[in-house]
Amino acid sequence: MLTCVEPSTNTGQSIRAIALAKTYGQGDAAVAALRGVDVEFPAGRFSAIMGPSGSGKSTLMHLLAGLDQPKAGQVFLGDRELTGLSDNDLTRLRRDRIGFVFQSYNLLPMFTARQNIMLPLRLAGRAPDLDLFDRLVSDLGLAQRLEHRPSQLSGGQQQRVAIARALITRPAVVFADEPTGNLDRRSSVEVLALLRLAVDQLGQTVVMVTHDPTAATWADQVVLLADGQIAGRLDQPDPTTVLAALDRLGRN
Amino acid sequence: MLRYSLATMARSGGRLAAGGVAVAIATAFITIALLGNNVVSRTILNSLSAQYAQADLVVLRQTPQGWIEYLPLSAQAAAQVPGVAANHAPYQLWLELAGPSRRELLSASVMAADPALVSAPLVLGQAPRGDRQIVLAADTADRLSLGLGDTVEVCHAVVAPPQAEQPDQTSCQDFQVSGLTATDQSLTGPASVFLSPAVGAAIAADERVQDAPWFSLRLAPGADPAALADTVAAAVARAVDQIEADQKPGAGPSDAVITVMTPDQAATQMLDKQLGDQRVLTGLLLAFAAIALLVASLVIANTFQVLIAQRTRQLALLRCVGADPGQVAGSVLLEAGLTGLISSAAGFGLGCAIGQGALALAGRINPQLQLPAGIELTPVTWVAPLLAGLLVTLAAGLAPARLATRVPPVAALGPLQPADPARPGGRGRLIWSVALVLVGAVGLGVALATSQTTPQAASTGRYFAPLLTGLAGAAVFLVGLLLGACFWLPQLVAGLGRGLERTGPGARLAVANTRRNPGRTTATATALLVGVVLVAAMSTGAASLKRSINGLLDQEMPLDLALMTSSPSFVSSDPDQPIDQFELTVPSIPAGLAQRVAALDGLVASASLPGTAVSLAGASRAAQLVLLGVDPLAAGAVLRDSAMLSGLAGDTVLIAPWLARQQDWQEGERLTVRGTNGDQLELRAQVVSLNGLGTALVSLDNLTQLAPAAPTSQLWFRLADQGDPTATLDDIRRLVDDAGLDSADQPTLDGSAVERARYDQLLDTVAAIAIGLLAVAIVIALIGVANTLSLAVIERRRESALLRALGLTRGQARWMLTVEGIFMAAVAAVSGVVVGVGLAWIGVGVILGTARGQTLLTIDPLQLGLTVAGAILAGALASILPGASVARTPPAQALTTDQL
Repeated sequence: MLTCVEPSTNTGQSIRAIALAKTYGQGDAAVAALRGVDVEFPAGRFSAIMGPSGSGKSTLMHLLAGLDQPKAGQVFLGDRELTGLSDNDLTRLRRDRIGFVFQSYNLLPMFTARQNIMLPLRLAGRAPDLDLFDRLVSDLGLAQRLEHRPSQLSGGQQQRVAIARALITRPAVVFADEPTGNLDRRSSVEVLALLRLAVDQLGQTVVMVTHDPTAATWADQVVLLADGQIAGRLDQPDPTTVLAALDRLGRN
Repeated sequence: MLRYSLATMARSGGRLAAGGVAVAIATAFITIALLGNNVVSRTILNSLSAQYAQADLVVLRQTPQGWIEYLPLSAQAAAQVPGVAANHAPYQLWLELAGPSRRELLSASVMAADPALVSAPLVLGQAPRGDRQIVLAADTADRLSLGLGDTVEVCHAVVAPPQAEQPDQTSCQDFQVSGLTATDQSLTGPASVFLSPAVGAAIAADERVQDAPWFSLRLAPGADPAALADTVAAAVARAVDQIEADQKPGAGPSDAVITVMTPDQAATQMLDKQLGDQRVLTGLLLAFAAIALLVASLVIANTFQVLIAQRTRQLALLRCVGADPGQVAGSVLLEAGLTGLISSAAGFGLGCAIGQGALALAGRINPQLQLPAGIELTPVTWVAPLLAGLLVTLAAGLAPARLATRVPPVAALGPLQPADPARPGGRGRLIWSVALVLVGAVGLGVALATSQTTPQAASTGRYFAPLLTGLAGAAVFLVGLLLGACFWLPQLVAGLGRGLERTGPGARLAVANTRRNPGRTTATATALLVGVVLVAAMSTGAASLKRSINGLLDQEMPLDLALMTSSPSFVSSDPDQPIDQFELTVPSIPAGLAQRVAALDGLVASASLPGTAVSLAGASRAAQLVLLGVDPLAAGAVLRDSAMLSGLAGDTVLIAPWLARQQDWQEGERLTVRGTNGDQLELRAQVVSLNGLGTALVSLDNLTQLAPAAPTSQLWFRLADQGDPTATLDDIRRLVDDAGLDSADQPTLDGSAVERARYDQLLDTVAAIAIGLLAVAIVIALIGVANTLSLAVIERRRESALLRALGLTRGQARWMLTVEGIFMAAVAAVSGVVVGVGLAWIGVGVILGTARGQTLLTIDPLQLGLTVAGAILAGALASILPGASVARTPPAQALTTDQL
């Protein structure tokens, strides 16, 4: 535990993959999802991972987040290696250092918004940081919704609760998996602006998987993935460069 | 649709299996009850036929209701009509046999002269001949340490004529053991000692035995049984009428008629009467089986409900491609039917296997039972369990089938929001539940009230009215309570959960989980509740009954054990005739023996009662008798209820009622007591039952005054409550035997310890069997808990993965399920115990209120504690597999959205 919790660091850390490989299935049925990926997502930056369906976006994110074990290669969060950690160590690491935002919000239906936000701290047995809680709640505009259950919230509101839940532990990195996939345009913009805010104001590292070019333009850099390999990289993307890059991938 | 049902069943196999096991256990239960009934019937039929040996005809006397009345022995000769070669009347005698190892009072009969009519065939030696030979059952001979050719002292009572005022005498003679027999198969008084017809007749005359349960006849070769039956019946009937007219002039003829039939007919006809008790047992067993089935139906209904919830999308898809609601419901019912059929077939097989196994085991443990070799499958024994299992499963599938028809086709299109489960219980249900609870409570109240106002009705039919009212009231109350469980159980869960939540995040999640679907939690807990209520009620009822009955026994049987010298204790005389010579001698218990006995482990208190011969003279009559002196303090420590001695004071003498009646002494009458030394006391007579412990009692001080050096005549003992009274009794007997006293001086043992122990044991055994049977319901309910938990795990697979992704450790995940299992079990167990204890107390009040108006309510804390602890432990166990499944859930699953 002690090695994981560093409350003084308020800023995010970089996350790095070296020669990362993953295969699903065995023998003839084996499918290589990742074939040797080297990539770094810098600390305190907003990165997007893009690529066609089946390019290995989700697999890469699962491995980076310690949700799954690679076949080969290494993952470093800051200077700490994730690969090879025991299940319990990985669980603690996720709990204390990593935040998640999902496409389908994934809030627990029996808990209120407040309880959902506090859940990671409760699981860890950590004292809630009330200053941070208040700040997140007011930034995310949830003050009036804290006692509502997920079924009483709109999709955008649910996703904002999910973001607050991801940020409450001051994680080293936040992973967002298609966070705008189920939202209308206006809610999408709200959510992306909030992620941007977390990077700019809290110094968080955010890694977002998306196939929406507009969403990708909110990131500082875009990593392009095709056939389980890195297929390119865009800094300070704008709609034109993103579309052009995707177009290039589609033609290959 | 069949193909669809089979395919979905194959996919949900594991989940259906848990519910199926519950139905299988219940079906096995019914199968065993029915098979057991069948085996017992056939065993009784075998024994009934066996007791007639190879008789051709049996003479019986039956009332119009089919009850057997005994036949007068003197009518036996009348059965010997032409064509009858031999006849036999198995009358019952009582003999005391003194073997080298012990004395025993044994049931005896005559050995039929014709070997074809002997119900206990000789295995060694020969039939008794002359007037000094005897035959013993082999096991009895073993017990008494007697062998072929040995001599044994045989005593029988010479019963005084009814009007004579003299006590019965005992007559003893030595007999030689001429043969050993197998165990007697007669159901009416099976005998272990057999005499020759001549000796038997003589002893029967002494003991005033005048009738036999039946006569068995062997016919001459070539005689026609059918034709002879009527002749014999007519001859015996004439003889019986004649005998009864002589004995009871004026009494009308009995309405019982003489019937003559073949042994098989007689056995079959008597089976029904013999089965009376066993019918009750089978009924009880089937009632327990019905409870098990009810619990199983709750479990299976729950399973289907969750399966439907899981398949919402699939069902919607079916609707989209053109299935109508009827087809959807049909597919669910088909699945329920197949599940019911498969599991009840499995349960039936299991029941048969257990039945056959138990039969073989029972036959090996007790080879003397005339058990059939194998179970017999009559149509009822296989149709009833299979049908019951099938129908219950189908019925349990009805509500889920209706639920399935409500799935709209559009549900297949949109993303699935886990719908908020509908709150169970409408207004109608609430009204019904409250009404039933109220009606039940009124029924219980009426039962209590009526039972208390009719203390004398115990012997009349009115005894049963409050019992039945109470039973019906309890049933209605319970049904109402269970029907309304969805209203009060969730409240209870919420209340209890609040305390539990503080213990950690796993517990907090668990409590939240039990609350999110109150309907399912209620159904699961209800299944467990039924079992716990019944077990708790049975255990508490038995404990309270036992305590109350012990209280009654204390009054009826205050003294555990008495060691008393046997002597003629009473001689009547004329009051005007001065007694110049005492005819009574008082044998004493040697001091050494008294000390050795009092030092035995099983005894906690003792009192020694000196006795002396006195003369007692009232106004009309005087008597010589042995007067006992008792120290009230010492006796108080020995007696369980000292009401017997409450009248004992410095100026009173306690007189046994029979003596007071005989001597015409009145309560309070002044009696003059004169001792052997001539001292005299004036005492008031107090007539009180002395429970056979003597004829007259005074305080120790008074006795010392009359006879300063009176020898110990009786020793009273109180046994330890937890001891084995039979063992203590044997110890005392051995000490007495070792003392080497003359047989005239040998003290005898009396007292109620063994009888008490037998009551206790009976009650314990009945309660243990009932609890054991009801525990089956708890086992089934726990399968339900495990089932609900696994279904919940499957349902929440994504949610669990999410929690794992957010940092729930494997240990926390397992603990979450454990707490959920424990919590559900605990809520059900605790509320079940409360309801069960309450119902049991009312039940005890109704049962004993009718008899005595005074009840002692108690609980068996150990049994109740074990029930609750067992339920909670099992709840924890039930969570092991589901917990492991949650812990295995790969966290990456939470991120993949399309796996539902």
